[in-house]
Amino acid sequence: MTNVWIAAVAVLVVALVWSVSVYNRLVELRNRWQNAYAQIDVQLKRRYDLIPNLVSATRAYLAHERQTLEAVIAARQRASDASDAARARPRHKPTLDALDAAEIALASPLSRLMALVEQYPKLQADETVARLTEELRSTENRIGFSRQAFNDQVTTYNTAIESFPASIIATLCGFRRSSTLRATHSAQERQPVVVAL
Amino acid sequence: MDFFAHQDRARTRSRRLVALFVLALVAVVVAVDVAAYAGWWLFAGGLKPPRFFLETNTFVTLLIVVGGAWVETHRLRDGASALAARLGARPLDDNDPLHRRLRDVTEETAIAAGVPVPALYVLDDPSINALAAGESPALAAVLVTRGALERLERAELQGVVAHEIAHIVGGDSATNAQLAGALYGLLSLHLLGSRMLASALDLQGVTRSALPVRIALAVAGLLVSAVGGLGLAAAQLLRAGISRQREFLADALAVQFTRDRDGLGGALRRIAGEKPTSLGASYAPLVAHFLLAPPGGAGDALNTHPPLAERIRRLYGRTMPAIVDRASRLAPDGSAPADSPVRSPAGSSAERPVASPMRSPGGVESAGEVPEAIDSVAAAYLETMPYVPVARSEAGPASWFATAGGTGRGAGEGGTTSPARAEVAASPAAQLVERIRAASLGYESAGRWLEALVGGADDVAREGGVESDDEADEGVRDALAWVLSPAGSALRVPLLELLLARVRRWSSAHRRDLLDRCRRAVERDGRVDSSEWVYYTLARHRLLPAPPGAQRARRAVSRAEQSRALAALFAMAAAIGEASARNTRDALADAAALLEIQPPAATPDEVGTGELTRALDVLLALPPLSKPILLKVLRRLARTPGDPNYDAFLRAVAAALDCPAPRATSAAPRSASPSLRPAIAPSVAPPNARSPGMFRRREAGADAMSV
Repeated sequence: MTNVWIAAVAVLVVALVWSVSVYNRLVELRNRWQNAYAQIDVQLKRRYDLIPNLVSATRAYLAHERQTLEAVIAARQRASDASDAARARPRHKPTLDALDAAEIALASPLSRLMALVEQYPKLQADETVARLTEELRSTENRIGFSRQAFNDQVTTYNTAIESFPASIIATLCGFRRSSTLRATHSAQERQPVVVAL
Repeated sequence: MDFFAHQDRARTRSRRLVALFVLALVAVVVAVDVAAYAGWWLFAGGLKPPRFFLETNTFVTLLIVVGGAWVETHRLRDGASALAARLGARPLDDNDPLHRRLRDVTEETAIAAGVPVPALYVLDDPSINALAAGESPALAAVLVTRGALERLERAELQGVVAHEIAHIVGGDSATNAQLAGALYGLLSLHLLGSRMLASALDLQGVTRSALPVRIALAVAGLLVSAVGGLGLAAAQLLRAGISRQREFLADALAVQFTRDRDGLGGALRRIAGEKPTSLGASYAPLVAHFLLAPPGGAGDALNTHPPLAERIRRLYGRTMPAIVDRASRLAPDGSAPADSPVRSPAGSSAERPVASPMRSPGGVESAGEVPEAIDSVAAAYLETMPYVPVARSEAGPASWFATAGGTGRGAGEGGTTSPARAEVAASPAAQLVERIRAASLGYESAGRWLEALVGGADDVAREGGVESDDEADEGVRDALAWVLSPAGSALRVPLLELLLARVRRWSSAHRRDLLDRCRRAVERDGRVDSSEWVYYTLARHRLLPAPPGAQRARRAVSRAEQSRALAALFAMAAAIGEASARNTRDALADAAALLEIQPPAATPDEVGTGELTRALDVLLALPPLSKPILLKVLRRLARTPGDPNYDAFLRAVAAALDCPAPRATSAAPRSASPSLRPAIAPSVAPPNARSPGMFRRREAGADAMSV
């Protein structure tokens, strides 16, 4: 009889240890994708900060392209505002959609500006401009990569909470499936800004 | 490429191999136990072995193997930064756009991989390679070669960096250290067995023991050594297998991070298109398993890297041709590509090694420490002195430029007093000389002019002229165009020397950079002709002279090698402009006799720049007094005394040999400085019509080869 009790307790202890380790792993995975999400925000901020610099550096050369420059500035302002709003209400879906829309609206004048920079050899020779375009291109890549890292992390997390037997713990402790960033506009955004240096 | 599937496969395989590796270790321990039993049986003949015999044996074996492994692992475990320092890598310089690009690319990739940004270093090596080191992501470092920075496009560089970061994510350098440690443990077991065997066979040994003991010792030693050796061989195979799987894994991870197959693929294809280099070999043994691609590119079972073709095939799903860019067809170590020889009779084309040699920047920082050619001293001197009245017999370039900025007096006087001076003063180059001597000589303009002077006229034309926003450069542009035209060719070397003398006081980083610009200027049109090679060689040796101890430290050169070097040098001289083949042959025999070198059979008809560079290196080790003799004999070959191209060649050789350029001799009695003197006597023609014929004829025969 005692043997049975000992066996039962042993099984319970093993199960408990296993559950704790699974729980900890799921927590780690969840924190990772949440961090990855925050990274996207950081990189977007970086882009907003860079754009006014690029515009002011190119202004002297592109005096006759004022429309483009102003469009970039305006779109950047809208995107920046939308991002602030999204940061204030991270779970609010309409706000997030507005941010997406603002980002798309920024992409088009920005790529027009980059194309302009390409057309002017003098602009490309300007070291400040060359530096800023490299920075901006790098930032575009960072945004793309941080989105991608987020999706990879979310995929790992979703796989972890849905595979058996960890799915039991996940259901019990309320780990919920997270959704990846949609690809509807990311084809456009993943398109790196082409800069010939 | 389904990179997740590839990752899974590589992970499974490398796990299986690690298990096999552990199994091999266990098998070795068991085998040693068996060997010990066998020894005991032979020695004690049926007696029961003592208590704990098996345990003791196992323990001792494990102690040796694991202890050796532990020691080796710790030896390998110095930080990534220490490794970088040992390889001579430098941290990034944020003022360099290429370095900034590397930093950006790495930071992007680190975001994609979700690891901290590794420390970054640049290895000064012209081949494309990279390596990652470091026990954990937080301590990791990535080293990238200069060749990779310069020759890879952004996406390709990103692929390379992603591959290295994948190694960091996978903890591969820690795994590597452990595997290397285990190998070392097995090696010590093998060595122990050999020692046992040797001491048993040592008949005159100090430790004499009874015969049966010896036999037992010999047998045990033989068995232990054999087991250790077999284990070692097996473990080496397994380690190589594991390492190859990790490479595949890193490739697949790199594609996951960048979501771009062509980046890494392009870089690998470029490496495949590169000639196997021996330059990387200096650091390769230390870090072979860390490298992106092994130098040499062999693919046997012991190699730590899978064949490049296989990696490319997995990336693309099919075989892809290598990408061969122009630069890589010249081997970075200066060896001539076998498939592009130069025929010397046809003319004067030669190729030239792409890379500036890796010279230690230390020791050449201060111009004062370096033995300088006398002419350069003069050229440096004239920077500070606006007017230097020099006697004709002492005239270096100084006398040429002394009046350049002056009133132009003496322009019409012609030969008897100072023809050279008159020419400079009257020539369109005066303004350029002014600018070079000006205190405000900027880095940008110096680089531009240097490129033009080294690269030649057609390069300038191709680039759309020496462009500058500065309106004041109008005159300079004209001056450059004139110097590069046949009419001004006589002044090209003096101007180059003047500029180099000016620039030589700058920091070694600047000089290296300038030399790189020259190299690119020469490469730009895809061919290297003999004059480009000459000017580049001159610039290279002036800008980055060999450190003072270099020739002493050089290994002893065999006589045959010296003889070959001499032949190569004379072949080049012949290609630049020999008087007659017979003359060359005689001069070569003379030179060999004077220098006490075994005379070469004949000058080769073809000579590559790699061969030439090596020849100059070999001849640099000649005794100091022999070098002027060699130069004198070389000058005798010239078709026309004072041919500017030939003189430029002589100066380049003199610079490379670290010896003053030859001065006036009977060959050109009227010349103040034959190596610099314009090609024609002033009485024959007005300055602007000087000896264009000679130059053109030579040019006509000189079809620069395509590289």
